[in-house]
Amino acid sequence: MAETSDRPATDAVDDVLAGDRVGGPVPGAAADPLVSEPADPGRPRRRRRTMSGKFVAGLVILGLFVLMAAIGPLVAPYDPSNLGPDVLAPPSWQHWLGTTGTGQDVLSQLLVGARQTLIIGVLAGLIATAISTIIGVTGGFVGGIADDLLSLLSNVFLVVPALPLLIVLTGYLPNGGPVAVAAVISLTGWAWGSRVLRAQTLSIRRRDYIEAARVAGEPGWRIIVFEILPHVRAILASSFLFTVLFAILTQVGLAFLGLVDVSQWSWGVMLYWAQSADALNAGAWWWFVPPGLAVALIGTGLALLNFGVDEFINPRLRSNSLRGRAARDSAGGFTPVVRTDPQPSEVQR
Amino acid sequence: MKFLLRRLGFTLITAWAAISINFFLPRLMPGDPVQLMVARLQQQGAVSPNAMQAMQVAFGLDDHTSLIVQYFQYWGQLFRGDLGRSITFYPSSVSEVIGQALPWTLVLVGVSTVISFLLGTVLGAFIGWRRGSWAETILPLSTFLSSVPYFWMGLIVISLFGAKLGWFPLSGGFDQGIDPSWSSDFVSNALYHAVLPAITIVLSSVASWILGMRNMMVTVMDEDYVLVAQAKGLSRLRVLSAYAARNAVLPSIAGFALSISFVVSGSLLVEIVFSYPGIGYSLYQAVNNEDFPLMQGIFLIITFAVLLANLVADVAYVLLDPRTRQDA
Amino acid sequence: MTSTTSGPGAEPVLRTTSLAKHYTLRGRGRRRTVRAVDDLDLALVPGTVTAVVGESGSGKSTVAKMLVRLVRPSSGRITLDGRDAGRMNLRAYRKDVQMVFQDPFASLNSVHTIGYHLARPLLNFGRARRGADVAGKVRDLLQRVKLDPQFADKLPHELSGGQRQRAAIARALASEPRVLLADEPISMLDVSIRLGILNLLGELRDTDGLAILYVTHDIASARYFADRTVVMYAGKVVESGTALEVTDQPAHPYTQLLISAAPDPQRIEIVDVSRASSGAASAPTDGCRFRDRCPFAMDVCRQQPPDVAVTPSHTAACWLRVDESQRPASGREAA
Ligand SMILES: Nc1ncnc2c1ncn2[C@@H]1O[C@H](COP(=O)(O)OP(=O)(O)OP(=O)(O)O)[C@@H](O)[C@H]1O
Ligand code: SF4
Ligand SMILES: [Mg+2]
Repeated sequence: MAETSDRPATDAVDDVLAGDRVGGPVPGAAADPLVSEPADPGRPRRRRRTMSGKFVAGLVILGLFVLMAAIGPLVAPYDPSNLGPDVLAPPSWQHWLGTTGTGQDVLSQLLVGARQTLIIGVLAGLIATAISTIIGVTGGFVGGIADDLLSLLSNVFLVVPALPLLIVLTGYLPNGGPVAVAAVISLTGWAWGSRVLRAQTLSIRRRDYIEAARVAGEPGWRIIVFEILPHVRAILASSFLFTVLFAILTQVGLAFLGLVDVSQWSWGVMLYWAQSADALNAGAWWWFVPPGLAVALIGTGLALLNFGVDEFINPRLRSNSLRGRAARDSAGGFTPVVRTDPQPSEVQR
Repeated sequence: MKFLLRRLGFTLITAWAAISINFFLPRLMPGDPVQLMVARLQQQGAVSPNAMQAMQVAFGLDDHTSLIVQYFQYWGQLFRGDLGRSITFYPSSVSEVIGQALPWTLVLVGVSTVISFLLGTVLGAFIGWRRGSWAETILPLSTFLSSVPYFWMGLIVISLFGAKLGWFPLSGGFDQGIDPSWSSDFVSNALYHAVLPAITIVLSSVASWILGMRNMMVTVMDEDYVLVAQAKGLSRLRVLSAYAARNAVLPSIAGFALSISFVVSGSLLVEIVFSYPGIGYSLYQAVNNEDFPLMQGIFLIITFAVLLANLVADVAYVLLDPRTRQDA
Repeated sequence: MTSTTSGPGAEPVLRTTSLAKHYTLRGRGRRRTVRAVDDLDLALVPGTVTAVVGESGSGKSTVAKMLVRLVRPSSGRITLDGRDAGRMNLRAYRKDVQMVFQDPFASLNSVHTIGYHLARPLLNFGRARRGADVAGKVRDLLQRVKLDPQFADKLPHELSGGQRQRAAIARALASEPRVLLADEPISMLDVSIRLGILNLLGELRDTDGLAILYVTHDIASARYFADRTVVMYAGKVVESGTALEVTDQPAHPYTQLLISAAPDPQRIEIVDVSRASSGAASAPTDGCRFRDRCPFAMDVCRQQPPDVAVTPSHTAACWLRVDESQRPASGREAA
């Protein structure tokens, strides 16, 4: 097949995807921290306790938006679809974020639209991650022709430009609800995660605990679910966050083109109405700035969270060089010395 | 060599897949949007029998021929460059519409992407090299920029540099008064119009190159060969360019495959915001008019362009990678 | 029909005939074949320990992995009670043949408790039913390897290296196997607890009549622990015999080198021998594979030496053991 695992560029892509380094394997230092070992010995546990500032910042930002999605419709001052007398009014005490060309309240639209935007993003992230787990982990674990075919499939989906394909797809499909939109988006968004997960699976499928599980009579599906998946959690999380970000950006683009149901408020739909009413030329910045800013902020939150996960996977990435080096030493420092037994006397003779 | 051949094989397979998707999509979709569309056209009396025939082949409305025969007919049409007729720009063919729009997009998106890649890679290498220094203050900003929707960035750029400051034209690819030609008047006018969309694309896409390169640099800087090079007392700049950056940039190039389709998708929307006469704007018009032949034709062409860009990246990879160069 | 007797002299339970494993390495452009194991005849007898000794890269782990069918042999046969292993159901085969891995830090999954690790094979091999039965059997297993039953609820990282290796042995015992393959079971452990693990394995051999394959690079521990010793170099057996014969009267120059490198072959607390010297990887694949490092190498050593009986139970593959008049006239063909 055209795509096999021993090609330089593929490997390098996998390295990028996994946030890993270039070149050949480096004993211990770079190879091991990739796989999350939640409770591994010989490796100080304190590293896991330190949550990076980025991670916390990401959590806070996302927490706010989740709150907005949860209570937004309840606290919105107006009905977002209600036409008001003030048309294209700039921000005021009455309308904190001004009004649209038909006098609708922008703040209310923003608050109400958060829910739809987030639901589609998270849903698409979940579906895509499920697909990439099934395809990536299975391919990496099974190997051989099946793996060649599955990775060919994900490579094809990786290079085919998503938006034009989505446009054609949604153009043909009748305007569906959020689930349909999420499903279509996830169809184009799973390949990235699949590649990363496959690379990870390849790197751990020959580990002793996997072979030991085989010897213990474990069937293949149990090895995948109970032995491999727990060790790719960090990658799974990272790929999920990335896909949510992709899904939110993509749905905003689709909505902007009017390819979703534009009577359901979401941030992309707000931008669609702003564009079709030519808010730009009307100088109504308060109409199109808030939804885009919200998207960018939520994306920043996701990216920050993702960096936190990446740094957990690859401690060298931390900004602070001292902390980075210290983490590297404690996390990966590989000592080719026979491990000593801390409590030799505990073995009862 | 073998590597490039394999990449070529992959490209062909992907192209085949895209073409087949294009063929099967309208035939497998629930409901009958195409049928409706054709009926509407016929009512308007805008379709000649000839064009009707071509549409039927392109969309499988002809119930008398089997799917397989249709598939081969479709390939035959493709090889003749026949993508059917556009509804929006009737009686122009899809190929004509694309032929007019494509150069605009190729230049705008191509040049902006190259600029963005180079800029981002150099900046990212520098930041990764000076880990822990003031240079890292760029990182939060990059993070924010990398999550901004491209087209929204376009709106902001227009309202700032166009509407407010009036430095650049708000929309279009050239002034209405000038006829497209290779005259210096026209070219400079077109360049003038391209500045804002180009800035938008660069601003939106540069951040992800910066972040990617920075991460690779940080990782590579700790590798033994870089430490050894430093220990040997080579100049810092030489260590940076010849050892660290060179190895760090390889995955960046390999990762091009991931980013390019994303960048292209974003850029198409930027064209819409600027009413730029490229392929993205044609796509927008096609969507608004339910012009399926045009939509599908554009999907194919964009896919081919992305595949071509990937091949170019592969060649660059082989040229830069010391390992593959040895036996190439 | 299976012999129930155990100890030296009983019928072997597991046998290999001309077993070989060749890996093809696909480097850039050229292909290279690594002959990890060649022409291996081995017989594991109930109630005895057979040691496979060799330096790093000599193919010891490959032998163990072929025997537990994690690695498919390139050629040759494995038979369990005379039945072709390649045709047996994998689970049925592994019910009888189990393995303990070298590194107890790597062979237990850090996310599962010790109890989980033991319960899985008990259920998979039908040795226990879900529920209280499993819990009881897990306790029994822990007791057999002399671990407190409360270890069942602990995660691997809460155990010391020696305790982990005991848990790994308990897991291998869950299926009530007749053959136990132990791949360097003590090399990753602290010197002070190595003896305890070996004694445990020795007890299992005696009480359960287990046929044990003891893989090691430490010939001194083989002398202490094994009944028979097989010395491998670069994938080939160069000498085999009773453990005492091989260590006390080594007949092959390589074995002699191994023993001279060991500080004191009479004692068990041996430091790792010949970890660094891996001439095996680049050894010639024709003739005597040891000849590049052998102080006695002759022209004739370009040809494969025959297995020469030193005593009825002790053979060595070396031209030195062949009477000069019997050696083929050689040296001419040296290309
Ligand atoms: N999967 C594999 N692919 C290619 N070569 C392999 C593979 N596994 C083992 N080898 C090669 O086979 C040879 C024997 O390896 P093996 O692991 O059996 O040695 P060993 O005696 O167990 O060494 P150690 O004492 O280091 O564990 C080595 O040269 C090794 O490089
Ligand atoms: S056969 Fe020759 S080379 Fe090999 S061990 Fe004997 S004397 Fe040395
Ligand atoms: Mg080994």
